[in-house]
Amino acid sequence: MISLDRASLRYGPILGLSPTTFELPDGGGITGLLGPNGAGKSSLLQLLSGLLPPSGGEVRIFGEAPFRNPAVLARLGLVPEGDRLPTGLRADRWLRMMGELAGLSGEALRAATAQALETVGMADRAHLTFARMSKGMRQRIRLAQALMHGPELLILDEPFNGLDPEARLNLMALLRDLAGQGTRILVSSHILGEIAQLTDRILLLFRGRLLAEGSVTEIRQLLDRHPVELRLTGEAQALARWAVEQPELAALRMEEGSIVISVRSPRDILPRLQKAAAQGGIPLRALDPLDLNLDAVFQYLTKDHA
Amino acid sequence: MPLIAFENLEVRYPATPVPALKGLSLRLERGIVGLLGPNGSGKSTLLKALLGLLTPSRGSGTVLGVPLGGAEAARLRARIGYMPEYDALIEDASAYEQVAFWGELSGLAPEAARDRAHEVLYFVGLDEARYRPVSGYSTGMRQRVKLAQALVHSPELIFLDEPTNGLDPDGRRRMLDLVLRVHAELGTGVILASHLLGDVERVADQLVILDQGQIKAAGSMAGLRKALARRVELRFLDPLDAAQEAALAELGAVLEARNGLYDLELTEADPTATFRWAEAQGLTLIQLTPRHDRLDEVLLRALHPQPAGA
Amino acid sequence: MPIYAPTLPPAPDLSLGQPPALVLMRFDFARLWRQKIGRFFGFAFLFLLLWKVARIYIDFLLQTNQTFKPMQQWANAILTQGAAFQADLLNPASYLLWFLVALVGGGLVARDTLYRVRPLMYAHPVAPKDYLLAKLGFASALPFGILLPFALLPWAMSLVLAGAHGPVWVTAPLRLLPAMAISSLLMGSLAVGASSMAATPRAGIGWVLGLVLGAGTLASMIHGLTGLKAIDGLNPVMLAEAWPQLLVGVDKPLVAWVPALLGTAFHIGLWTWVAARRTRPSEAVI
Repeated sequence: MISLDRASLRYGPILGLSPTTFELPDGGGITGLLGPNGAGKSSLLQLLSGLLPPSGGEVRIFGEAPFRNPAVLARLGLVPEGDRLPTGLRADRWLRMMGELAGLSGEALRAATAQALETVGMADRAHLTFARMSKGMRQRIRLAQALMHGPELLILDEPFNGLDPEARLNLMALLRDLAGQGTRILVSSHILGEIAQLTDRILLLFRGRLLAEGSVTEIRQLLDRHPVELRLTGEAQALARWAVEQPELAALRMEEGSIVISVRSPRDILPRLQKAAAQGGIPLRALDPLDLNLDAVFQYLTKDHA
Repeated sequence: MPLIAFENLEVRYPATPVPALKGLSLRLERGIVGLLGPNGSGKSTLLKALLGLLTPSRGSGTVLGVPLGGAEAARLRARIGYMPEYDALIEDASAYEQVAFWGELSGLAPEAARDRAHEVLYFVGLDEARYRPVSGYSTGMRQRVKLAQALVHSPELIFLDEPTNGLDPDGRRRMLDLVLRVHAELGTGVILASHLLGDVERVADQLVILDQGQIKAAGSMAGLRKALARRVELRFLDPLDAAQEAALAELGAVLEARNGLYDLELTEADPTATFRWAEAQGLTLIQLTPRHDRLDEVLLRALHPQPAGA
Repeated sequence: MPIYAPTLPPAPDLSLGQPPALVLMRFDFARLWRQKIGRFFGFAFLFLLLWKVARIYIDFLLQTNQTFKPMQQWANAILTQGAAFQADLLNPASYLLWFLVALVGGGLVARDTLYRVRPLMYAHPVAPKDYLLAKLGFASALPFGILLPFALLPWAMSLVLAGAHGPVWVTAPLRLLPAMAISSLLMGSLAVGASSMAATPRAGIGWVLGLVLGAGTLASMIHGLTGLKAIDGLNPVMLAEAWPQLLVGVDKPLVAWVPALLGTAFHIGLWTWVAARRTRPSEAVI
């Protein structure tokens, strides 16, 4: 669906995105676009949504270059960053205008507006002006705008910024629903927890470069420079006695009622651990991989490349 | 002495019929308190009441042992530090100058304020940049200046409003580490208002959920995030196929599967059976942890209480 | 050998600080110093001051030195030594002073509004009246400080050179200092009131100039149309010039006593009230 071939973006002398190559396959699903401030997230989204042409290389969406290409743009929806809307305008009128810009008219426009408002749960409140809406409500209207023409690809730039926790959770649920119905969604955020809650598939950008792409578990397993930390809960002495016998053990730390082991190759040790626990050989009550999360993966990746 | 103790505290703005805080009863111990609530839930009213800018219209409250609305309430402000959500920085002054200035406004002598400004700027990790005007600072540095400003007079309680706003993952981690250090090393009580549940989960030991001027839930984090009996979260080394997912239901009810993590209600409490099942299926478990309430569940439950039995 | 923990030392004493209004004024003064806008004005006012002092000296030479005798008739014509001369000591290019007040005072409150630091100030032990006092104090102390050498140096010079019979009255400071205080307060309150209505320091400068010139023009127009002289009491520029004249006892002051009193009270009252309202804690959402 999306493919970049050494696509780069520069704003005059300023680097937005270094030459980047990757592909996202067809089909629904959510991909999180992660990176520190200034990593190139917005640059990548600007390329993908056809707002800017690449300075070099190629960007293809649905097999075509998106820049100034209505055929592509009609099939993607964009929710840009920020919360700037004409305050005095009624939301439904703004949506009608945006729908007309997308080429809808008449009955089709009315139906699309109603459908989009229904999807974001704002059907009964669309007659309010933007000034009278909360940030969460405005964010929903902005999402409705991107959904009106039934896009196959939905791009959201920092959609959770400034939302309170409940509005955040609602928006996440909404995005999950859309993805379940077959829309491919690309969400950028600099808050790892949000992405971790939303999806497992990430694109990680750092200093204008693509650092990693894939699921958190896959990426973590590729990072074999860093031993995996596992917390084994149970009777600590007995667990430690078992652990020191294992050839993969790199480090061992005792804690209250648990031990933390660092192992180089979890694929070798985990089956043996499971077997021992299944046979009742060790008193294992819980198994917790401490650094198999987005935070740890992000930190390892950015530290390795710093 | 509790950090905060309210007894049926009601606060209203002049000339408004509905009170902004409707009878809060609350007792918080010295620690790190996470304050959650939608926009307009009464967080800033609570802060203004704590600072003695609004007097309670009914009920009573003490902050750091000082009664609100009394003669001493204005002096309370010298004992509280406040880090606002927005950039309240004097752009044309250096970090050092303005931190010293805020210290003096809290009652430090000029010389003491300057020494103290240097000390807190080292504490928050701002080195040579402190002599440059803050207008050239990055977001992370600006947040540090705001934190230094709140700490300069060594308050007994600091109120942090969205301290990680606009920070990237690294900056966020460092800011939260600082918050933990403020409490651990300086013994300062912390109230942390944040929209990010992850922040609160990471640092807070107590939690208050505020909505529409009322307390929806309050207490220690451990007490609110109860362990759920016979509920575990499972993750496997390799993704499951449909048949294996179906087989998982034999173990108990699969309540939720997300991003390769399965939330499971087991039929028996002993996890040995689960390991045995995985062994039989030819799967390798990489995670098997007892399931606790997640903070988002606590929050949603507090904001939308289900009627009993539903 | 002890090991000192790399953390903050114990809490410092919070009771030794200076009053908040003084701290605020010192900070504003430090900023003025840093901004270096003083250079131009420093030269301009110094030049004016030298001219005033030089006139005293020339007068002294003319009166005492026989060689200059023929010039005395002519000199007496230009060097009036009556009340008007005394009042004129305090008129160091009135517009230049107003411009300085606008340039510095216009940003006083507006800068805090722009940077949104006022709510944070009120979260410290600073009361709104401390804030207002500091800003009014600073905006008034500035013109007062500039006028001070104009009142005192020529007087001291005249006293030293010619004793009690010099061109400047021995009692002049007793009349000039209160006049300066009133004019300065008028300037300060106008600047602070105007600045409190602006959202940025630059807009604040515009507001001050607009208010001063606007009120002046309006008063002049009404004066011109109706012939009502008393309306000049609303003209801030004329008021500031009139007070030294009134207190020194000039024959025909720019504004008479009653309109001057009413107009000054009106301006100081109105603009202080405006500034107080615009800097209330509730105005700034925490």
